[in-house]
Parts: sequence; structure tokens; C-alpha cells
Amino acid sequence: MKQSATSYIVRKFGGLAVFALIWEVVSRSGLVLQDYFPPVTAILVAMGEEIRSAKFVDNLFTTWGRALGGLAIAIVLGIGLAIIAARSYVLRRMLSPFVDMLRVLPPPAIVPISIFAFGIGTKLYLFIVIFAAVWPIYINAVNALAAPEPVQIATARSMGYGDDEILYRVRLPAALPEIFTGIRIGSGLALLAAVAAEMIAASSGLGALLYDAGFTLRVKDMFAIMFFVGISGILLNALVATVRRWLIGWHIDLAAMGEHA
Amino acid sequence: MTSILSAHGVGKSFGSHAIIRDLTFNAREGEFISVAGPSGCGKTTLLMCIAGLLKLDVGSVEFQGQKISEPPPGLAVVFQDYSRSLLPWKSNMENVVFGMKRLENLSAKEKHERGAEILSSVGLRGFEKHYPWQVSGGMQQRVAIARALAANSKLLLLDEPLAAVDAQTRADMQDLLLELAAKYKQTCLLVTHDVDEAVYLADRVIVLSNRPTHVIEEIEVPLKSPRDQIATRSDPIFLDLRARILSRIKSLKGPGGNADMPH
Repeated sequence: MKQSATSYIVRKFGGLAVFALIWEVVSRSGLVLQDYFPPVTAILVAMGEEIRSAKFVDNLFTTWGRALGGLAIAIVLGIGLAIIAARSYVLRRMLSPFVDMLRVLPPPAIVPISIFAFGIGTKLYLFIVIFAAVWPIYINAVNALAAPEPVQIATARSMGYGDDEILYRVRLPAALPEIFTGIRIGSGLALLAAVAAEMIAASSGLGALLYDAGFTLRVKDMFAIMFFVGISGILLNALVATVRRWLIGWHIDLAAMGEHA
Repeated sequence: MTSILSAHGVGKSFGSHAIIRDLTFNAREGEFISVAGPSGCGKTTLLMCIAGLLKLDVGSVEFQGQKISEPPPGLAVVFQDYSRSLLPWKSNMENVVFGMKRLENLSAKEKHERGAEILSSVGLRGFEKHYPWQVSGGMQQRVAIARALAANSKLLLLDEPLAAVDAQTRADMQDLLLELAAKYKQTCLLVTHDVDEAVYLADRVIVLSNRPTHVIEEIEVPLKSPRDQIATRSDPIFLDLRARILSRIKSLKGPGGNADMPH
């Protein structure tokens, strides 16, 4: 079904607009201290100032680079580890307590030990982002890879495909929808971890700016940076959705067919 | 006619469950064989063993004079569950081309030409670019059959290929199978729980016992070809064979109880 552009915009951003309006009214009503809770319009003005500053844009890109770079490595590592672990039930069982233990560690918790290991620099931020993002990708990938469709495998074997070909031509494509669920969760965690690491241990990036603005009581700037983090999340999700549509459009159409059936 | 497939003294167990014991039969080149037997008697296991997908415990299966130990070239399998055997991320054409793994001397273009020809002969011209899940169940099974033929096989193993399609489609597909078997010179081994279908399609029906299963009777089907859904099914020979096989299967007391009921 095609909707008009207006109805699309209303459905996509209507909720945000109502939220912003309530915020504006509450902030201006005098019920709260405007110093700590500035109106949305004032935050938007601050955002406009930030985005015109080259230094801010540098910091924005720095954070994006750390999140995306770490995410990319986490995707490769998570899927690679899953391919190895999917071959052996024993290995999966042995890895599983480690995974459950490590995946609940909040990114800031591993900052100190990571500083000892990597010092302060790109390696540190990448490590923390990878650490945060890799687990959901691994877990989804290994679950999907370890539970292939037996009829698909039997068919491929009868056609003369070997184990490696079956992995790359049958099991991996079949697992992609579930892997993408992991990547989507991982992408949010990657951004979260990048900002958190920057708050604790960086002088650049949105996290560092946010920390600085917050504790120097530049409240409008602080909110403005928080909004930029939020917008980054929306853009990152859109990026993942685009790649997903490109790689597993068949699955999206198949799922949509189920919804309308 | 020369023998293309021979199973000799085949035995297979899963743990302490004996599924097949001392099963022996031959298939002649170009023959259409139906394998009928009570539910759960191990027909599918037998097919997997013949396909080289399961290892035998004892005995041997020879295909074109070679002992089978892994899936051999020249042998293709069509499973009952087409929705799970077709690859949903590939179009119908790509699924058929996927079946041409062993035709290494063909270029991609030649594979697509061959795919188009085979899809057209199973009645799917114009559906090459559709995904399997965009077409009906009967059409999906046609894609799976086309994919099996695409491998340029000699022997087609059919594991209840029509059990999941509706009755009308089923009759059409039975005739299509006979037509394709003749056109592509296939030897067919069809596993079915439907005795009518077994007799209608076959040159010979092999009746299996309960588990551990073995051949209890081989019945030649002297019905004339081409078969016809109305004439053949009302032929006294058909009715006689059908009754004979049904009562033979029914007489087997087994774990399944209702021996002629689909599982």
C-alpha cells in the first residue's frame, strides 16, 4: 500500500513532535527550573550552533568512526567465532558460560583494564565497542548456524556440495536473517559503548563533549549533544536496515507476506 | 534391460532400533518403481541410504555398478517437504541452477538456458524470477522436481513428493511425473504411503514389511502406458492390484496399527 508523503511523515515523526511540544510547554511553564531543563527550541538553537562548528563536526565523525569501525570488526569476529563454534556442540557448551558472563559487563566496567592493556587511543575505543557489540551478533549467529534446516542440507549434499560449500552457500545465507537481528542489537550497543568510553577516557568524541558540557553546567549544549547521540542512533539503525534490505530483501518480503496473509 | 540400482542385504539401525534388515531389490534402467509399506516402516530411511546420505550398517547399495558410500553423481532426490528443501533466498531459476553443481563444464549462461528449458517442461515458464514462497505448493514441488532433473541425473529418488499437495494438483503432478520420467529418461524410485498412487505410477510395486523392514513382495504392474487418471484407475487390473497390495499391507500387524493410514 502506498501512503501519501504527509501521512508517512505524520506516522514517522508525529510521536516525536508531540513529545517535543509537551517538553516545550513543561519547560516554559515554570514548573521546573529552566536552567536544568531548557525548552526544546533553545536546545535546537544550541544544536544549530554546534553543527556549524567544525570542531563539533570533527567530534561527531570521531564517534561515528569508532562506533562503525568497532561494529564492523565485531560483525566479522562474531560471525567468524559462530562459524567455528557451530561445528562443535562441545565447544558451544564450553563457550556459553563465558559468553553469558562477558556480555553482561557494562562497557564502562572494562575501561580501566582496557586502558592498562591498550593505553588511551583508537585501539582502546575500538576494543570497548567490539566488546559491547560482538556478543549479540555471536549469539544470534551461532544459534542460527547450529540449527540448519536438515532437508536443505540433505538436498545440497545429494547434489554433490561439500561441507564448506554447504556452509557458505546454504547455512550462512539461511542464518542471515537471524544474524541481522544480532547486528541490529549490536549496532545500538556499539554506539552506546563508544559514547560511554569517551565519557570516561577520551578528550574527543560526543561522549567527551557531553561529559564536559554536563559538568561545566552548559546544560543546553549537554542536551544538544544528547540529541545528536540520539540522531546518530536513528541514522545507524537506518544504515543497518538499508544493508539488511540489500542482503536479505527476500526475507523481509517473505515476512511481510506472512503479516498480510 | 540392465540393472541400474541394486540393494543387497541392506541393514540399518538407529541405536537399538532396527529400521531395515536384510533388504534386497533391483531396479532396471528406465523403470518406475513404487515403494509402498506401512507407515513408519522405514521407507524414508531406505531412501536416504540409497541416496548415500546415511551410512549402511550392513549390506551394500550399488548404483551404475559402483558401491555407494556418499551421494553419487547421477542420482537426485526430491523430498516431501518442498517448502524446506528449496532455498528461499534464491529465485526458482537460481534454485534449479543450484542443482547443477556437478555440471561443471556448463557456463553460467548454458546453465540458465538449461534451467529455463526444464522449468518450462514442468510448466513453470514465466515463473523463473519468482521466489519459491511466492508460488503455490504444487508449483514449489515442480521447482524441486525441476532442480532434481537439472542435475542431469539418471535415477530420481522421490520421497512422498506429492503428499503435501492437494488432491487435484496431485493427480496432475502424477501425470507430470510420468511425462518427465519418459522425457528425461529417468529411472524412478517413488516412496509413497498411497497405494493408489503407487500402482498408478509404477511398472513395479515393492511392498515393504513393518520395521525392521524388508521386501515382502514385488508386484509387476502390467497396466498399459500412457496411464490415464480415469481409464487406468477403472481398469480391472488396477483395481485388482490395488486391493491385493492394500490387503497385504493391512495384514501386517505393526507398531503403527492403521497400516494404510498416512502418517
